[in-house]
Amino acid sequence: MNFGNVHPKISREFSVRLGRLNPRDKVRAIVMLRAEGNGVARARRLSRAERQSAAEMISQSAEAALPEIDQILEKFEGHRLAEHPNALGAVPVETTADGVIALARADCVKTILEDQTILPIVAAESNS
Amino acid sequence: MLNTTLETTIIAETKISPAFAPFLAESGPNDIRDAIVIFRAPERDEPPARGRMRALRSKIKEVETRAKAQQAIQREVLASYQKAGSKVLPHKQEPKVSTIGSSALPVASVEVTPKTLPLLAEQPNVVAILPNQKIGLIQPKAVDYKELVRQEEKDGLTWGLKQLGVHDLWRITKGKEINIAVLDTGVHAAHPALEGRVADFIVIDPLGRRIKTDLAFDGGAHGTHVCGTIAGGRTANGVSIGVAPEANLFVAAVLIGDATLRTLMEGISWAVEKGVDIINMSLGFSYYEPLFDEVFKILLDQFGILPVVAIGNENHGNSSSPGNTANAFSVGAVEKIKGGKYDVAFFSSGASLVFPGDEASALVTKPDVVAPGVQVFSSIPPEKRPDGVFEYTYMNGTSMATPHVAGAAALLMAAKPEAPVGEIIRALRETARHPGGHHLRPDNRWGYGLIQPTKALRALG
Repeated sequence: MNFGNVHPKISREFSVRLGRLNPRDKVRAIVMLRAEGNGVARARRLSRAERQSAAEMISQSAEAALPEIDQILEKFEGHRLAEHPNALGAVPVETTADGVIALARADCVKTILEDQTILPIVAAESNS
Repeated sequence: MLNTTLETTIIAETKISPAFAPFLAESGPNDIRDAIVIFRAPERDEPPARGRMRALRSKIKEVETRAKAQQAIQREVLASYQKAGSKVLPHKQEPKVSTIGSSALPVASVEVTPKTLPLLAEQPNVVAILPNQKIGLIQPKAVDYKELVRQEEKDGLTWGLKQLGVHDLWRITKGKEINIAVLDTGVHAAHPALEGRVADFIVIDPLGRRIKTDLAFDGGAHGTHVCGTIAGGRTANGVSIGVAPEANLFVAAVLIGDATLRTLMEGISWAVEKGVDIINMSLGFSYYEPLFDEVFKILLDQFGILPVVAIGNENHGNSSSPGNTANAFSVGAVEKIKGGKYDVAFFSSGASLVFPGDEASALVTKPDVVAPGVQVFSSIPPEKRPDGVFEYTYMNGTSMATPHVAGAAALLMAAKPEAPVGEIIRALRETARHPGGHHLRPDNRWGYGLIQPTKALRALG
């Protein structure tokens, strides 16, 4: 999708926030890595075992990108926050704004999301 | 070209409010009704003062001047109406008229009958005629919980479950062997209505660490309420609260402490590793992140997992991230209204996002569907109150609508073990009921409409 962002792998909102950081400020982000998967699950029901095996496949496939990610992070005073990519092929990192942009330029990176706050969608108790 | 009489009649008809229709249809020719007539205001000589209206004195003077000019028009309109009305009313009686206040506003109060109404509308300086009506304060709706409790106990299930017609589906399946992840505040697994339902539980801390506990707990009450609506059993009074009471729950407490996206990603990853079929997310981000759609795309394409996400409680015209991404199956809330009907709850979010140039998703319209989300009765961790210990409560929100859809999807998946997730989504969307008709789907209130699980099952063949 084209979100009108500066870099297609970073959302416009995250780009704006990066632009406000000082050069040495650090930001936490989730890096989604390119990973091999079968990509057929929307059209065919997978068994539980098949899903678990697909998760392993994606995590292992994303692992191949880690040396390149580590090299970029080293240049920008950054580091990984997890040893291995998760079942979605994602790995959390901490680096500078320039580090995030450099990561986005790497072919092995699909998208980068800021590690922003999440909240419950507040429900109102309506007991009388 | 229209002849002059016909033209006048057409113009006159447009001045009469459609709200007069019942009066005109049901009343006798001489029955009287109070009305408000709005007449043409005189043109202003000067443009209105800009910014803050100069001094109060000059403002009052301007209003008085306008009132005088309007009084002349008003006198002429009302006199002409009374004269015309006396020709059609019994005993040549003139219709009653009265001014409102000092005539600062170009309105007056009049009596009309089905015969005099068109005569008033024909006056050239009349702009519109409205029936007078009672007005009232918009007050919070007083809910008769006693009646609701009585009805739900009589039915043996909550109004939401009844609305979705789950009894019919339960003859086929209750969601057995379908695994649903709930990423929320946790769950009070020892709740009697959730006995045997929580298959696994994990706490994800703000640093993304997985913490295993012996006892599944809830950091609030939200998660336990959501879990009850998905897979809860019966209350002591025999009220079924869960849509898929034989489905398994995999609960990740991700909304404990200062949770961030990393916490959520770890929770999703945990759910994927557990091989779940559905993930229920009644949560939102602090700001819009369209690229999170990539995560939902992976869930659907790589794992066949259905992400069911609340669209938010920020009213029409807004939507919550990540429920507003293209691949989220997002849910709005409906409430029960009088006469056995239902409507979209005022708080239920809905909006469209436009991505020019993107052929696949140029317009993303949310929510996808709606489900019961007001006065939803479900389980909570035991709560001490002055009048006793409570284990159930009513809650409102799209958070409460979302588990109805997750539960319904579980029933469909259990009944049709071969149906892929894409078919489940299509069946739920296509069979949903929009009260305005199929041609209005999807919109930002109903999405495709209120889900109809029984019809969705038939659509799956």
